[in-house]
Amino acid sequence: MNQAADLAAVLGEEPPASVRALPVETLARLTEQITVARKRQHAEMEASVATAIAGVPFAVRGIVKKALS
Amino acid sequence: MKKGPVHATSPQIGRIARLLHLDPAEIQGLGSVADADLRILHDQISRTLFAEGQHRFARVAGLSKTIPGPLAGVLAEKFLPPVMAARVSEMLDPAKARDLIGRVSISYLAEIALALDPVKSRPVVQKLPPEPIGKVAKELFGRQEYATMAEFVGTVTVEALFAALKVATPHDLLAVVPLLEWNDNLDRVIADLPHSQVVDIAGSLTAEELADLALALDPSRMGPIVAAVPVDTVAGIARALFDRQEYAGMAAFVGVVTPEMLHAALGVASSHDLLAVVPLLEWSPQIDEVVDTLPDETLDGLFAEIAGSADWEPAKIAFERLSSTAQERLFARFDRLSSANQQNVRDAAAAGELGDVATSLVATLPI
Repeated sequence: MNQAADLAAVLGEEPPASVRALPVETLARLTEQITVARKRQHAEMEASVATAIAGVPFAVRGIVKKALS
Repeated sequence: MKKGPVHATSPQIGRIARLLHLDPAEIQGLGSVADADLRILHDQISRTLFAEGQHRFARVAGLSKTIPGPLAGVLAEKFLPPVMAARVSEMLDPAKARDLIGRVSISYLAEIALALDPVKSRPVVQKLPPEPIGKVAKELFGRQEYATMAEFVGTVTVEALFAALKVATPHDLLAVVPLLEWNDNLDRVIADLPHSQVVDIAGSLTAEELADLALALDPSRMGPIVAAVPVDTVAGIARALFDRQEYAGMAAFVGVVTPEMLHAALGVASSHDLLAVVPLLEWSPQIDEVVDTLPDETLDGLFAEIAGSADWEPAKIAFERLSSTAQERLFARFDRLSSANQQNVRDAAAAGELGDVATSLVATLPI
């Protein structure tokens, strides 16, 4: 398994060469840490969207829901 | 017990850890990566974490153009959770952001600030007036959110940075400074801290804490603060730096003190400390003057330290930097060295391990 490629895939771009050259265990750990952080970020965001849609007054709920869909 | 420097963790690794909501100790194995590359990695991680849902937030930001400002402020604070508001804020038209920042509470703004991406929010944050940023900073200092605040040093304008640091207590500064990634704006702000704040820092922090601050700031930036510190406290700072063997820091610190403080600072050095710090000092007539007036016991200790050391190179550098007065005074006390140490010095001179001046002074000694 190419850990540098996995890290690049998570980042969506190539990390600096000095990072790509790190030991595979370091790259694997970093990739996992970023993946966990992304999942947490996603969960927080979805919770925020749900809160916003449920909370805004009915009169503007339609446009807010459309904006967040 | 000796205390390590307060900036033991690389600021870049600390930034990455904060982004990932981890302790810096959990970011292992990046110590060999250069700071410039760590900075790139940090920004890449930031982009990947906040990339999702951009289209949604752009549309909500667009809503702010159609909803009147007062209503948008009320609706945002009441119904938009801070994490989401942060994403939307990053996409607001800067003029709209300037309008909205005055329509929501400081507490809500502080929550948004905690969720902002410092990189992505920069264009908007740079357009915000310094006054509310100062108020948000006060709120965040009150919550001891030092790590988040440190993230924004490169995001805000120098005026906003000034407004933020102006509201910091001495202990806030002590906590936040080690986390900062230094830049020119910070240099300007630290150099121009209000006199009342400088006096407060000098009077509120202990010598140990001031030594921490000196190391975190880089001692060369301590000039304005040191100028307000009593001489006795300067001696305490020097003692703390020597205790930690922070000789490079001490050498930089010496460069910003008055002659009177220099006496106090070098006066607390042991002979071992002097031997370590002298080669690192930027030499000046004031340092000569201090060394020339060192007590005899210190000179005897210094000479014994030099003679007893197996490594002549630092002693050679240190000795050659002394004034001729100090050099002759040192050798005038040669007979106070132990016989073994006297022989060590003669052997080193014969082997060409001493500098020219020391070698010629050895030649004048009675056999």
